[in-house]
Amino acid sequence: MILRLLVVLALAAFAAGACAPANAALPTQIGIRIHYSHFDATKIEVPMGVPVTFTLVNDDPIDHEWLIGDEAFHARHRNGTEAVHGDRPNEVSLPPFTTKTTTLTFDKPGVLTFICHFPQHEAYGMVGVVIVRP
Amino acid sequence: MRIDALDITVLKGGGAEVGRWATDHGFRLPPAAPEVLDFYAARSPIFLAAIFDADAAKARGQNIGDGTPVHVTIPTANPWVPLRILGLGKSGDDRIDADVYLLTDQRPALLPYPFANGMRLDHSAPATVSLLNDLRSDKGMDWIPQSGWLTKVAIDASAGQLTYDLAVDAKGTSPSRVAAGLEAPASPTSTPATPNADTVALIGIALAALGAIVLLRRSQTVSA
Ligand SMILES: [Cu+2]
Repeated sequence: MILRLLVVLALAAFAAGACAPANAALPTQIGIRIHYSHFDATKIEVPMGVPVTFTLVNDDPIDHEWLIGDEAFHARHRNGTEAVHGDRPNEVSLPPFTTKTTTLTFDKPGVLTFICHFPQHEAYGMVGVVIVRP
Repeated sequence: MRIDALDITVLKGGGAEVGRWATDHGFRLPPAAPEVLDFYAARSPIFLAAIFDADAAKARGQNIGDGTPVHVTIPTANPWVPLRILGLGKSGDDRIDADVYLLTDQRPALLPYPFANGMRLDHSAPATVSLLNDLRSDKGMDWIPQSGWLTKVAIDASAGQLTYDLAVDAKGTSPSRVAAGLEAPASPTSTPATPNADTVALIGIALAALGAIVLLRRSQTVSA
């Protein structure tokens, strides 16, 4: 009897956990600063299914960019010839000393990578990950 | 200012000004540039930037690897040789070969001391009369004194190893740790007391200081 009660309590707790989304506490406003060709945040957890706004600050006197996507996306950009990105929310060009914001809604859980694809910048360490939590 | 196939510009400020100049002239600085430029800007607000005009070089009959000597005069009690900037744009394992010649009134003190740190002291002796006469015979070199001390430092380092500059005390006592890049300046924004208010960080070529001559050039092109 006691054992059965414990199982019931455990199931109730599980159900309660399922009702309140696990990602509710995750931020939807993210700030990333670039200084000396590094992102100051390199592992960011965000909630799935809601708009997340990234504020990107380039503190450096040189150009950078912030491109977020999966491995196939980055493979294309590593060999890309597009010098400036402007229209897509997951591709942000950051001229020296500029701040830009972009808003993305992630529709599936998983890990995405953000990288600056200017020559040598990825190897220099301009890489970070966004973990999308369901 | 134009010297052979080089367009030379003196920039005042810091990383922001050099970055703007580079962007305006169609250059993309490597990712290490912001930190390296701040390192130098904290020590001196003056930079010398040079553009190599490949078309002009071709028209002049210059080939790849041909150097253009640039004579820069900087009034300073103690010269200082920017070495760290030679690694800009290179990966940590890339090799850097350069020769630095110093002509000072007496035997100088160097910091870091060239020994097993990517630098090698190849020569340190009184300059011969024939060398001094030879140098004095070149254009604009009549300031060369009757006697002096010749030092040759060979740079044979990986880019990752070259985290310092070469500080020189021409009187042979105590070179500046700040000028050597081993210590941060006390107040990065004020006019630096060391090494000198008129020091210049050079992007790539050659540096010569009054009272001491510093020739920095690629080993491969040394013919002397
Ligand atoms: Cu970048």
